[in-house]
Amino acid sequence: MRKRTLAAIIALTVLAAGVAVSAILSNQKQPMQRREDRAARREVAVLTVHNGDVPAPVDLAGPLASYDRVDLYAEVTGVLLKTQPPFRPGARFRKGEILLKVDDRVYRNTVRAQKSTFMNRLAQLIPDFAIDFPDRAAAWKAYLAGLDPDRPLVPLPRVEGDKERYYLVSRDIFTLYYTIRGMDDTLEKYTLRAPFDGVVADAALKPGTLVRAGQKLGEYAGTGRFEMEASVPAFDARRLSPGMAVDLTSEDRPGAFSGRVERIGGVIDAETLSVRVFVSTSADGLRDGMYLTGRVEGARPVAAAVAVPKDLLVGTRSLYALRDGVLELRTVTVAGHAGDKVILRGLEEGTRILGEPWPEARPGVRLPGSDDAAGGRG
Amino acid sequence: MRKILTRFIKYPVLGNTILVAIFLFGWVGFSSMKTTFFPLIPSRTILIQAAYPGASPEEIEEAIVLKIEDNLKGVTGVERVTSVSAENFCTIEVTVLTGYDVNVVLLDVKNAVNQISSFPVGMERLTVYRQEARNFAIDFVFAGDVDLHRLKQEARRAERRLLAIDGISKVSLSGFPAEEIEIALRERDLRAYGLTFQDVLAAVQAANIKMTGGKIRGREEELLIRADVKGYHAAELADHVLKAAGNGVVIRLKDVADLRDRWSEDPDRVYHDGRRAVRVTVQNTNEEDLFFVARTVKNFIADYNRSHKEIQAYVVRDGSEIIQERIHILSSNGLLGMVLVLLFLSLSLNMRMSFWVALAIPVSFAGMTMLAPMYGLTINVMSLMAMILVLGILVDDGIVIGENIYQHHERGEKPIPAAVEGTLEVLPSVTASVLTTVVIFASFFFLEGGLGDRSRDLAFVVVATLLISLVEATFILPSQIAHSRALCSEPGRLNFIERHSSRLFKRFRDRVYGPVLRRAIRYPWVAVAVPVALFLITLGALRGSVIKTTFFPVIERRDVDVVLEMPAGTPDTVVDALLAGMERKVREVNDEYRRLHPGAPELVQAIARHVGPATHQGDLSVTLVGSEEREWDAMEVTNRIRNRVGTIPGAVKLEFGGRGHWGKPISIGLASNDLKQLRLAKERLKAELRKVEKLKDVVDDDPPGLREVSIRLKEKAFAMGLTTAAVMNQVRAGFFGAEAQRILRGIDEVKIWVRYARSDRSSVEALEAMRIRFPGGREYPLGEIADLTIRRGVMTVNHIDGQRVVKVEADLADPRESVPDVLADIRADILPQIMRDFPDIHFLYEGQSRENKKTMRAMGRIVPPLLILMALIVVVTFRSFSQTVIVLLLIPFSIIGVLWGHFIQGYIVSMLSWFGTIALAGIVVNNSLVMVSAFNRRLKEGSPFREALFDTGLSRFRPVVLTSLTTIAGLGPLIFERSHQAQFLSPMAISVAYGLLFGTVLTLVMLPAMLVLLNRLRRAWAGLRRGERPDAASVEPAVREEIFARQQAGDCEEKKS
Repeated sequence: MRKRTLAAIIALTVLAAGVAVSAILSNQKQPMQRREDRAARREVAVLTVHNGDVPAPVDLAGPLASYDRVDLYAEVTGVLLKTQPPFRPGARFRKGEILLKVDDRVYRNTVRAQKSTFMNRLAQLIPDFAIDFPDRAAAWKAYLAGLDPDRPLVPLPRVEGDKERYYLVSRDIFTLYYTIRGMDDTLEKYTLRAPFDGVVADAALKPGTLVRAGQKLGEYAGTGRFEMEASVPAFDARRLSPGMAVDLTSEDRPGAFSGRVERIGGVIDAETLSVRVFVSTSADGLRDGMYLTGRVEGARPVAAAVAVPKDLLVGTRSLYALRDGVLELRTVTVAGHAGDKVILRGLEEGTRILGEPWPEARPGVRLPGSDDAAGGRG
Repeated sequence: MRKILTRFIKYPVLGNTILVAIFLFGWVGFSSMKTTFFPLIPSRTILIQAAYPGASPEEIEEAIVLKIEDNLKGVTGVERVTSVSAENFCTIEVTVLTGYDVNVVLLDVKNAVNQISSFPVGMERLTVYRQEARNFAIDFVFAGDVDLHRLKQEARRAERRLLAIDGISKVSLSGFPAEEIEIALRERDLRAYGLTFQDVLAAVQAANIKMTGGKIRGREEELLIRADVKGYHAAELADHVLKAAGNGVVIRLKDVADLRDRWSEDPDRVYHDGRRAVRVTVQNTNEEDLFFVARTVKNFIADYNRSHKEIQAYVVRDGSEIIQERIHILSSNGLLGMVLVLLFLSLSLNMRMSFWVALAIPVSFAGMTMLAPMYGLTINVMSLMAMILVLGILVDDGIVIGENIYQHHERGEKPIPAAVEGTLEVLPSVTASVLTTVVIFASFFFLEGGLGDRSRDLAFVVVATLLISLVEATFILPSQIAHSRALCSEPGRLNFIERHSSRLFKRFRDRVYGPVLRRAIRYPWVAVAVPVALFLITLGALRGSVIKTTFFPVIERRDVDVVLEMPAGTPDTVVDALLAGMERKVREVNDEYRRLHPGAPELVQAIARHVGPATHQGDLSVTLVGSEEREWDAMEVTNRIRNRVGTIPGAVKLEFGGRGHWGKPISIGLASNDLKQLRLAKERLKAELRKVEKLKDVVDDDPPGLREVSIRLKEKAFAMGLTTAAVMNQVRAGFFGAEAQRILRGIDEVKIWVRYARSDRSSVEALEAMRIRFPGGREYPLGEIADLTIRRGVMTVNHIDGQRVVKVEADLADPRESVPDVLADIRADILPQIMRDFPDIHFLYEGQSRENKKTMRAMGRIVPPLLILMALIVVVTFRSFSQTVIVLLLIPFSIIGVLWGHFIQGYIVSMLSWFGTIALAGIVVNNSLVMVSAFNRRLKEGSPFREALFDTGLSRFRPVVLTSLTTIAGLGPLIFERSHQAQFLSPMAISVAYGLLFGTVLTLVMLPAMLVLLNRLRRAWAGLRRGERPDAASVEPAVREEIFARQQAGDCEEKKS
């Protein structure tokens, strides 16, 4: 019996030894060895948030349109004559230069004939005037002498008294005079002159073509003053006001030039949810239809915001902030962009945020060198 | 049975006839067997390929791959679908589940793909096919101081000659880009003549034709109407008319373009020892013999080199050599094992009897080779391994039967009755032991995964040889023994060796084993506690990585690959220069080897440098001298090359060593449809893995893509009524080119491209200045109507089961490290952090982990039912469930031997070790089967319990030790083989040998102790039921069975009387 007890003790001892050795052996496993990572050990920059007014330019873009642009229509009928320079797209004219000329020879002769009739009447009046109005005869005589059928009719001499007026009325002098004045005006319409310095945008007809009254002859655009129409987000439009300077550029024209906010739309476009802003400019080398981009550097700043480097954003709406030296993700509102910076709102004053992209960054990670609450390279 | 057996024993001619037939047909079967590296497994891969020229990887993914993947959902028999969307093309790989007919699944896949009607217009015809199973045979190059055309001509000639040989069907050439005809348009001439790309394209297509116009059916003869103005070279196309000016003047192709025959701009260059070369790769299908292919090609090379001076052919890599090496190792180890088996047999058995018992080995192998053609067996590492494994087991049944016959003869029985009785007495237990082994080895038929699929040959060889050996031991061996001088001599008369070996056995049995057994029977708790304690210690050693485990063993290679990938867009000349520099470093390693090992053959046999398939990719293929002739293993050579090369600044991927057979040790797939998140997570994982000291060569399969010029139309372009598509079509025609035609020149398909000359498309400025033309004569410089920005694109988009996946892979710095341990550490320390930061991403364990999982899953599915089947066989033999449980309990305990065996030998436990353990389960129960059967027999004969147990132990000591020793002896040479090539086969041998060694001790000591404990339990149970403690023997099933039989017999007698 004693031997059996001894055997049982030995068996138990063997088992206990087995368990003990097993436990020792199972603790032999080495933890995963990692190579020293210098990058991870260096200090990581930290920024402190100071909310305030952040200057942020407003970017805008849109097509350029000439401020002065007219469609040209014929008011008389006739054959279009050749002019110099020719009325072709791209042709430039200075103010007053002949744009187009319709053959007026027939009409001009009619005007001349009418003027001859008028002169005839006046000639018949002169002797009567010498008798009835001796002090006025000289004036009328001089007027008659000054009349030229090829020149526009000059105004009648001043009429003194009702007697003289009735006398002239009874002789149809006024009727004839105003008829001829109207004809002179019509004659002028056979020649179209440039209303301002500009360029022909479109030419519908060529010399030799019969033009009818009311027919479109072309388009003429001024080259001195242009207006750009841009759509700006409503948030940015609030920071603009008429008169602000705009820096403009175009791929089609070298160099930058300036403009000025002219008008700001009063309503928000329902389709684009933006506000129309008109910028005027009168720089050289601009052309109708040119696509411009502009920036209003002097726009009103974004209030209660902070600008941070764009690459600090995690996704589009969050960044890493520090709480007791440990990283946590914070949601922010992006209020705008300024170069390589993004303007954020919604961060409390004094918040410490990760100041540079750090590959090791993830929530819950303690920033290297930030064992104390102040940690990191500020 | 007795009658048949008696007939066979009486008339040995019957057995001898069968013997001769087995040898004869065995030889026929053997001569038709082919040699391969691994067993041939039919391909289970279906490939779907589509080309969409000019499309980006992301476009291809959206327009083609996602549609196909969606339609493949629901196709039965698909294990998984992976895809790669690259620039211009995509490949979708469908892996078919084991057990499904690949051809049926192929039809289903074709059906599914054909249902898609919304493929993009420019996509070329889609191909769906079953990937053919091919094996690498031999690789050679043509090199010389001649131009590439000449080298290609010679290679083409060689290709035709080799393909004409019966038994060679797969020859491919590389080292030269495709040939093409380029019609390089001159911009100023296009403007001058008012032509567009489309005009030129249409004109070439219309002018360069060969066409039949029907027949003139005359009364006397028929004439064919044909137009043949098709040009096959650039010069023949130059005069094609593009446009008639109207005044009799025609504008020809040469007036607006420069035409030339040229190599395409894809880089595909091969250098052999620094000289430009063309590579010929020969593969063999499952039906072709690797050795024949390699031999024939080498003969061809020898003939060629004799008859040519200017160009010479050089073998770069010969796949047959490494197999030859392994077969040589296995064969010599097998032969040595066989000699040892015979030696052990002759030490313990009568010399003549040993001879007849040993005859089972050639007979069984001959029988197996006789059946081999029906199964499709080849000579490969697995079948040879199986032969070594089974070598010692084959004689086990013979030993038991032979010894029992001899014991009967010693008791004074005449040879023939002794043979009949001796055989019949142990036949049930011998059959059961063979069947248990057969059943457990049959599990290898059902394994899956890289190594699992290849282990079926192992099952066939073992099962076939064991069954043949059982037939031989039952019907042929007793007859041979009965008629041999082994029994004709006087019983008990021994020769010198037999006398001494017998004395040695007896002395050990009586002085060592006897006392131990007696104490084990007396103090069974102690005898059981020791193995249990050892089991616990072993578990602790496993958990603590004292005994290391891994997924797959490292297979020694004869080649080292260095793969370099620079950022996409790097010119091929830069990659070539870097590779040339690395080639010099490899030569320095060779010089170092020569210095350290003077007189040894050159370490580096050949270096092939290859630039391609993309301009930024390239590799070095270094062929080493045979592993038996070199001092350094491939891993050491790889490490030395790595150290010399150092880091390549800017390299996106730099890998040394090449892909293993089972995939990368660490391969983690990150899956998510959010590509941005995927890339961030990938970078994080790579950064973390690079810090792990046990890992090296951390790479991913998602390199940064080519820098691309992004074209975006300006606002004013839209205002002008232009569309992006209209503009891009013209850009594409100018820079990518428009394919006018494909013509066949010899067997090469040559494309005719219309595009700008290279000088007109070699800068971003050229692109900006390109004129975009529209109907009505409008034309704009591209820079005027579009913004061009430069950014990085995507190189490839990979999918696994429809999800975007990026794989991060790494190698072990030391191949003796445990892959599961490293992976477990990564899972515990690295992945949770990444998962927390990127919650949309999930991880896939690819590479070796996946292969291992597949095999383990199959093992988990098939081994338990087979273990139950094995248990049932044992139950039938013992007619006792409790004894069966005790015998089966020996299996887990024998794993102690397996694991410590690896520790002692300095090996890491791998998949092959577990295969060995499965084999061990079938073998280790054999001895206990015979032992418990003998014990039951003694109990039936009336021996008291303890005496029966002790006597059985002593009497079975010799056969138990002998059968174990023969098996271990067969494996011994392989365990101690130190060659590099044997390293991956040894773990299986270690598992069986050490497991069996420990299992034998368990059988001899622990089994009796457990039988005592079981007996105590039975007695206690019977005492509880009957109120008094019965006699020990009376509660044993064998005794109760005997008492019951006697009672039945007594009742019958009473009834008769």
